[in-house]
Amino acid sequence: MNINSQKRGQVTIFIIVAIVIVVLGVLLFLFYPKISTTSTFDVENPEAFIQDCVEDDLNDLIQTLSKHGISIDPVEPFAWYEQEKLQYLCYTPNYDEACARSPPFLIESFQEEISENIKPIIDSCFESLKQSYESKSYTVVMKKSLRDPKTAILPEQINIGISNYELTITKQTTGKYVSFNIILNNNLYELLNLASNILGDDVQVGQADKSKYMLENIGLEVTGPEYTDGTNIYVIKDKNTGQIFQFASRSWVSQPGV
Amino acid sequence: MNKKVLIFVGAIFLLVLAFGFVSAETCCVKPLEGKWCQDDLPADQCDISTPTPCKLFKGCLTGTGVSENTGECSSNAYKAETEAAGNSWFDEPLASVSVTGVNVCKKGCCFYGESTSLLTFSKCQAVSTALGMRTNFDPTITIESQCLSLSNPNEEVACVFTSSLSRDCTRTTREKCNSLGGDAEAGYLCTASRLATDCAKSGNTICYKGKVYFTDTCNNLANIYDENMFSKNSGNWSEIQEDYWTYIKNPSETDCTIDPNLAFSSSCGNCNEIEGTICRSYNEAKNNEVNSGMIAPKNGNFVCASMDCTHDTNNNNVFDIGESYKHGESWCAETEGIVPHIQITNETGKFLDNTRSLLTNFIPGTSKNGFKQSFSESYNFYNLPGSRYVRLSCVDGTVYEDFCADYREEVCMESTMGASTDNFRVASCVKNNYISCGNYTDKTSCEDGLFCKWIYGYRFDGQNLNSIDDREEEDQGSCIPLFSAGLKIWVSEGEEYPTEAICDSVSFADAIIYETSWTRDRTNFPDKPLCDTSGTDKNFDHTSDCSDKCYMIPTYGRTEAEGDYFSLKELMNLHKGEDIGENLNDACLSDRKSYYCDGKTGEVGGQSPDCAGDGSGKIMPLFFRHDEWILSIKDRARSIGDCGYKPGILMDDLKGLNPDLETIYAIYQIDGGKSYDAQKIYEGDFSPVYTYALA
Repeated sequence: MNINSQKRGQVTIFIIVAIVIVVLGVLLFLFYPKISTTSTFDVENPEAFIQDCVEDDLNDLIQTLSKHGISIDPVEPFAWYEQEKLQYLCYTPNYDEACARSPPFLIESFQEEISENIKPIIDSCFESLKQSYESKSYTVVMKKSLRDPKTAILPEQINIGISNYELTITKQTTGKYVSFNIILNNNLYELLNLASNILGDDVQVGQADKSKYMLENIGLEVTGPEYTDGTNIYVIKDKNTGQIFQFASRSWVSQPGV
Repeated sequence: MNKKVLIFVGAIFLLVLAFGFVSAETCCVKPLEGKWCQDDLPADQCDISTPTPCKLFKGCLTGTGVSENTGECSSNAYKAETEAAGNSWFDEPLASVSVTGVNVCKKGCCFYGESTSLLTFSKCQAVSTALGMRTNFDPTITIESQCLSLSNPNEEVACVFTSSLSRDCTRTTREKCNSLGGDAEAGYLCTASRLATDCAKSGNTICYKGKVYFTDTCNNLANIYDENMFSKNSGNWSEIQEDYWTYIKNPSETDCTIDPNLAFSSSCGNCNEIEGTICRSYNEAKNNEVNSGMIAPKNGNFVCASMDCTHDTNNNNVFDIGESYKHGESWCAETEGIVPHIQITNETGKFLDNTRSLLTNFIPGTSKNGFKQSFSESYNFYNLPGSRYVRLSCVDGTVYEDFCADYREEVCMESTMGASTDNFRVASCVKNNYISCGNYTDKTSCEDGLFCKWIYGYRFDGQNLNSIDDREEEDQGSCIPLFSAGLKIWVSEGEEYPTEAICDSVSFADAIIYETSWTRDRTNFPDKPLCDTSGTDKNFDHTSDCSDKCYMIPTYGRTEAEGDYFSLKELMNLHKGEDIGENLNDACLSDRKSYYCDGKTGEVGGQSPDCAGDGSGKIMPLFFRHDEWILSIKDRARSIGDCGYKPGILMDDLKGLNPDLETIYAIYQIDGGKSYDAQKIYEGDFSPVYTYALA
């Protein structure tokens, strides 16, 4: 009897241990991504820290600018579409006249907007980086110059070059970092290229053939209404990623009944 | 004079509304924010301004801009804005901009790394520079698919990494393999038996460049999916199957094909976008009705799905024959109040043989609420206020709507490509060039194009070109819009309505002349019946005493007041002096000789005006019957734009539509004597309203 009850006790302990292991396993599984993320601070690679830190906010910034036709908050003239203000990228207030493209260059303007609006995000990330090093008992000397970050929107990627921070990190040895590159995989270049072609058509004939562009770019969707006042709304969407770029234009509008 | 003449005037007024414009004096070249070159921007919002309108200021000229930084070319860019950022501006069209002999804005194939893109030379240069590469640009390749097919031209290899414990393998380029320190096995898949890697054949598949591919157990790309090339039973593998998993095959070397009758396949992954198939997950493919007959793939989860579409174009809640559309096809939607499916030829851009006749002899259709069925004339069905043409297109399994320009400034037209019954449909929104109609004064030239129709009747210059023998159908009439354009019937504060002038152009006043004996009392003439073929007054009704333009009298041309109309041919013959088959004063016709013969007076007194048969006939009247006149002026008014008593597409009934939009008034005046107040004899309705009581 005693032997049997000892065996039953052992079985109970095994069951409890098994349950604990399973629970730990489940917890590890559930929280693994966070654990993994917090452990990726590689003291040898501050660039990776900055990349990680900036990426989400950069994506949000790109999304905001894309949603409003390269503008955080469009100014007149703009059009409304689904409760959002859309900047006219080609506009004329007149009838029977080609629109003028302003700003003239979409990629260049988008780059400038990113460079301008990413600055506080970068500053905040460098502060976090400094604190991360200091929490690991590093001595950090961080110098900042007035040079702006440089954005390059390229096929399938966006590069941001940061050269206004100089970081000297000392513990047993000293490491000095003077430039940081952020690379984001993104199809914005392709969307802006298509937008530019559409605007070229708007200048010529007043409205682009959306289905023609969709047939030429199967992964992209071009939709959007034409308003009664002749405003064309274009929504370009990458069907795989859901990324959009939308804008308004008004060109070669016929005056009704004249 | 033994006769006295009464002149009565019927003045016709049809609807009216109007508009205006504003202009500018000061140009804000550079605003503090927003668009450059804006006229009349308040000074506190402007950084740089000039006291001239923008169109006169050189910096606000538009031309082609070329970005020094990104290589973008922009047509119609402002000179000042472009140059302010250090970019180049050219006063010439984008296509002809040349820098040091190179057409920098012309597209060609740009090679960078393993990728290619169809870019302009200047963009290619900018991208290559940013990526730290040399510019490699081929201006002779201008087709995107051709350029893209040249991407990754490097030789592909199985890249094997050997360690004491494993033989890993990756499919990549030789260049990359060398940089990774692997052994490059050119042309081999990682599953090749002779390489003895850890990567095994698998039934897994993925989508790659629009086609379905097998992958191995290391997730490397293998060859295009072919259900016959994989067997779960390793003992059953044939030599062909082994071979399939040994060598990298070009898609063109793949044996499996897709049955063109099905246009989808779950057994062969060799999808072809040009032929309308593309790699999709099985579940995604099944969401499209055209793939409903597809069975699940034997291996993996990806199939070649049809990119075609089905669409309930006629809105009857079922997919009818003809409502399946190929990928790339476009057609016109059947939206409320428009002419559906206007067919033009692909070759000439003109109407198909029967299209014009269909357009001018509409067959009434049905509508959801049945409202429009109560109208008898075509102009009450088509091109109605508020209606808009819409073009539909099928792209990659989805039907997209493109709205043609509002106010029917554009019309959707369809054509077909190919000679078989399986023709490929193409539709486009075509600019409604109704403005041109005003240039034509004859039927042939009017109806030579797509946008005008000829309505026999009044000419805009007021002439009657008919002869004694015939009516000049070719020249006697008006050239008006075939697809009546919309008019702007609401305006902003301070604007004026432009509609009034447009609708006024089809309004007019005209005079009927009555002839009667001097012994008659004329003061009560307006109270006399329009047509009396039985009573004692039958020689003193309106139709009997009419001497010119009698068609304006309601009932004119009928056999009796409530009877049928005579045929136009019978009435034409009557004007040539032929017998009508009954005494003229027994019908609703004039029995005055002066109506049929020049220089004659008095009563015809029989079944034919003999005087017209001896060569002294009068020029044929514009119309022979009242209904013919009403139809002509109504069609002319309603076709010119949104003029007249015409239902809008959102109206469920005629309540709220003002009948005065289409009204005819008569003013009776005795020659040299008393005149009476204007009387309404017709108002917008679908049956005439006659009011003759004196006010």
